Amino acid sequence: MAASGKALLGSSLCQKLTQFTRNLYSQPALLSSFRSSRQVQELEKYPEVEVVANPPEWRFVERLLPPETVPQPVAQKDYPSGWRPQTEDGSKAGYYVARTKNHMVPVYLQTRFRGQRRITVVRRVQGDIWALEKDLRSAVEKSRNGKLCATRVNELSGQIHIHGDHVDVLRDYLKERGF
Amino acid sequence: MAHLRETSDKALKLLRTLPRVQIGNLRPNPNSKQNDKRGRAQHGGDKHGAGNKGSGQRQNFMRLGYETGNQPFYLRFPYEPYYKGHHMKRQYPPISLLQLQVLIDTNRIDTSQPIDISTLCNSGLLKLKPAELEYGFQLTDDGLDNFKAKINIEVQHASEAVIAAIEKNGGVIRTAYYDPRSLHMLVNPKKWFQKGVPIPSRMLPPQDAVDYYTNPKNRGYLANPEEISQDRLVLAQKYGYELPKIEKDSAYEMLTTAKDPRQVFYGLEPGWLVNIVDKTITKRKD
Amino acid sequence: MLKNILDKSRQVVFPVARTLTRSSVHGNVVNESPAAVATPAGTKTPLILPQNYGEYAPVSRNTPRQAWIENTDAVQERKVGLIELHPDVFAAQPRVDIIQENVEWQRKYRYVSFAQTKTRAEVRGGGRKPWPQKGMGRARHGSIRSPLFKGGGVVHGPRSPTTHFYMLPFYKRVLGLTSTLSVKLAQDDLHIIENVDIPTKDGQFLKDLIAERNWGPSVLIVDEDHMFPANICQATDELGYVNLMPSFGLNVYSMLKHDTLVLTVAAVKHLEQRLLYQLNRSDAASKGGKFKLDQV
Repeated sequence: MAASGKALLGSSLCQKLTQFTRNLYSQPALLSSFRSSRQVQELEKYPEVEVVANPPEWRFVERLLPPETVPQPVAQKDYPSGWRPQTEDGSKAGYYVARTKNHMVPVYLQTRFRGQRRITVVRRVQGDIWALEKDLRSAVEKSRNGKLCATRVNELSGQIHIHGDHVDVLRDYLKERGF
Repeated sequence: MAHLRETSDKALKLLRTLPRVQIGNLRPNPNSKQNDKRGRAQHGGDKHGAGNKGSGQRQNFMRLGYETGNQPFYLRFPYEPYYKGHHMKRQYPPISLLQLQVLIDTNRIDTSQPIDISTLCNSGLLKLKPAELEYGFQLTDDGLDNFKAKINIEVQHASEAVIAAIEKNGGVIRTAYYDPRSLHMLVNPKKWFQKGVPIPSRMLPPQDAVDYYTNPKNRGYLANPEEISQDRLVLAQKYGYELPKIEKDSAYEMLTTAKDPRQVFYGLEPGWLVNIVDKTITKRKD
Repeated sequence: MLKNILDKSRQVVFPVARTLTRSSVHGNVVNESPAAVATPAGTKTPLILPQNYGEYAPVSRNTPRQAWIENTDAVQERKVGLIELHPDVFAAQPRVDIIQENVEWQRKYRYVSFAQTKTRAEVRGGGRKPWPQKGMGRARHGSIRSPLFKGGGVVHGPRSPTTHFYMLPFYKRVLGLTSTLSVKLAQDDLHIIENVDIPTKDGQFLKDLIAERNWGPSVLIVDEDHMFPANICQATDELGYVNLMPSFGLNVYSMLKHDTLVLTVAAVKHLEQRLLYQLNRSDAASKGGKFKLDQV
């Protein structure tokens, strides 16, 4: 009993001493949660708590946890933003442009030489890439009143490069086709 | 599912006729490797593109804007310090109404729940960096005409037209201030819960933000609610639309959900400790 | 004698429960396929494992790949069932260039070069001026260990230790795995077995099995669980060219180092699930950043 009391006394004395030396030698560092935090006090000084399992508020926590994978879009009557779900699977056209992981049409703009060279890139093409290139080229040429347009096909990586900035034209064209 | 004669299919068929792919017969793509050695022989490493003699060769260029003794152009005229202290000011990265509508259409945001910073960040498509003085999102009016969703959204800054566009659809918008620590929690709540720290309370806005967040015109979270409801009506008359009645809406409860000014997360009070492994919440007894 | 002791200790280390779990998994698999086809008497009902496309719809329009599930209880090959493989994992574009990058990365990231040469300061001696500056008719020199001298220091030589550590971008690592699996399947170097329970602990059984089925010679056997049954552990122990690996440790280098890759059904499902998750995860953008050494 006496020994334990002594130990307690010793520990509290020790605690005070360390606190004193801390105050003496170290400025409380604002950025470090360890050095600026208070030392652990006796349990009575802390408020009483209870651990609630299956709390009714758990739905608020669940709402804050992000989904693991990208959710599938839900079918709606209309989509005001202009986004469309993919409807075509390529069985008619012979080619297929897959949507990205985020359900977007994979048409991008590549700029090189400080924006002087602009190349539109259509990615994720499967199937007959040459037929798609022909269709895309005709769509671009139609949009610029028959002026010819240079293209480049990379069959291995499934990409079509089109000279110039035709992102909006091609994205709308592919969406219209159901891709 | 249609089966196309796919490029990868062709390649895989070709591989069947080729020798086994092994460690020994792999090569990098032609021309994909750059030689990181510069030539050092008589002409191999001639000038290394740095020219002959002077500051060009030695690469000890003059400081930017220095005109060898002239009064430099950038110091020649007096100026007004518009950007003084710009690196200390609060930033509000923009998200447009069009972006928000796309997020809703592609099922990245659930409109049946109130939307705040954590909803936007949890979509995985929008980023906020509180450490770079980004204090939240501002909602901009791009795609204003096509915005059709009925939402309860809380952003940090919004223009009058944006407020009108959301209220026209029967939605609710509120601008609210979060201190950097609360923002840090909101940006990645899961990571923050894993720290196992009690939820702190949110700080009140600094002096120069009080005016904005107490103004009912901005739908500030510290403004008088009665003044806000009056201003909703005024705005509807100004923009010429009929204000939908929230009181009669089926989603009335969701639309009127709001955080306490000292609250960080919806439904969770400051001081609670959330344990996402055991699915428990530690609360104070009294 | 020693071998007996070793065997005993192995039995202690590898718990018997392992075989129980394996059989329970097998039972579940059978339950999943109620539409079992009638089979000749004497054989078990065949496993037909269709792909569940509900969770991850295939991006690739390729024909879905199907593979036989083979037995392991006898040397003689018997088709136990059929498994449908996800085209995004097993019929992906065979990017041999990405496979090569993966192999190079796996070689380099743990390689530390200990090649070392001495500079003029480190070579012994050479503190004294070899001859006076003037009056000797010789070239001026300050040290016999100067790089110009035979036996002198080396300029810009290799210094030890030099790490060659770097990280390949995350999705290149994912694509490396899908490409290699697709290549292995296309070249008939991927086989699927129902489980890793072999009847004996004799290495000869595995030798015969590999010879009979025209596998290998080198074979990598992959299961989902990292605790392999005692029989196969002991049988492969003496065979240097037959190795065991849990599916979480599967990598491009090991797949290519072995001629034949043998996956269990559980390993196939696990690999598909992990790789498809990586290809569809919502926080993929967070994986795109620069690799930081001390990141949490």
